[in-house]
Amino acid sequence: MFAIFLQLAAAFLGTFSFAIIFKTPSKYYVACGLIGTIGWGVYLLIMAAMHSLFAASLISSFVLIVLSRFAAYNLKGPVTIFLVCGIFCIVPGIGIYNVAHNFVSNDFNQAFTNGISVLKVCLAMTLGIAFGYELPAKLFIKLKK
Amino acid sequence: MNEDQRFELLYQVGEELLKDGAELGRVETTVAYLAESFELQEFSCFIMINGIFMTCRKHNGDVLAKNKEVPLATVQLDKIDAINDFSRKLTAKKISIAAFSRQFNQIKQDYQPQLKRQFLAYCLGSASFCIIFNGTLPESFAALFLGLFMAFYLLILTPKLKLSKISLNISASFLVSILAQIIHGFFPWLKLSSLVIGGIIALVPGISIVNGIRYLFNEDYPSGLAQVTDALVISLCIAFGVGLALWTFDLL
Repeated sequence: MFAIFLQLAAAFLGTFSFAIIFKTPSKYYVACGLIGTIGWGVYLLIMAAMHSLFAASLISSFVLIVLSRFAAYNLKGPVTIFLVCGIFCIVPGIGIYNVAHNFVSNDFNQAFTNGISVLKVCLAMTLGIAFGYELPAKLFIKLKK
Repeated sequence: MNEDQRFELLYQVGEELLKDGAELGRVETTVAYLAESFELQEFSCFIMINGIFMTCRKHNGDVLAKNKEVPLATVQLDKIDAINDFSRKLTAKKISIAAFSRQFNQIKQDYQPQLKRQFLAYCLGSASFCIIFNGTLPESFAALFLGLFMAFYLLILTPKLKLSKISLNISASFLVSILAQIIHGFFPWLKLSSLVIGGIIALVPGISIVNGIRYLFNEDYPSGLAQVTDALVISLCIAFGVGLALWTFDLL
């Protein structure tokens, strides 16, 4: 239980920090942090339930884009702001570093395995984000009311 | 403002959005909406990840065209937000083109470094991502100092040194891994890999690789490939820097 709380707290602080590093206007800090936390929570939940990297990345990025669009309509900011900060926990940044690390340390099998999983995560996120963008704008306007 | 000036202004808006890390599709739609408000005819633009081509036809039949290389983006969301805000106002006819131009020039020059806040963010970011990648609390506390070093290096030192992107990434990851090794030397129960991950998190190109794949799926192959390649080059530089630091310590 404590571990989960720690993970979620870290996701909030991490997203919050990267919102600052990316020079987000201060009025969006908390929204970005919350979106990142929920996204990471969904990711952990699906990883625990289904043990599938693909499903976890797909569904969590779908949730993230829906939340980002919702925040964008309510706070009148561009979707990009909430999305860029929110997906920071899920994007395979360390994954691609690991691939490069395996590569420079001559561990080509591991580089290949890690590379495929990075590619999988990217594809899943692309699909998740694309589906989220397909949702009609009317839906969000209604939710606002 | 005459047509030439409006066209020039529109080009600068597109360039600024691209430079600040807006998604390509978003730059395209914003510019297209603005072109309508600016009353530019037969407007067309082609946006790549590192350049914009724009043309339109003037009332007297002449064609205006401009293209220019734009350096790959460094994310600055406040500028995107500001441009988005007054583009909305302009298309809703709440402000005039002259007012738009004034506000745009203001945010172009406006640069507030907010150093204290940035330093804090680098520290907390490193500490948090150390936890997210299965670090322990003591490791995350140590990563805090790596974040502090990173902030100092990236915000204070490198703007003076004017390094290329490649040497910036190699040197930053090299130095932060050396520091992680030193911390690991004093406190051997802290895992080195967790410390390094906390240290380099601000450098890794996670968002650019996802964006690159998204552009590819959007049938924008040149930009997608360029973005993915950029991410690969950066991650290789980081891995090279970290590897160099590990190797140096192995020699000692």
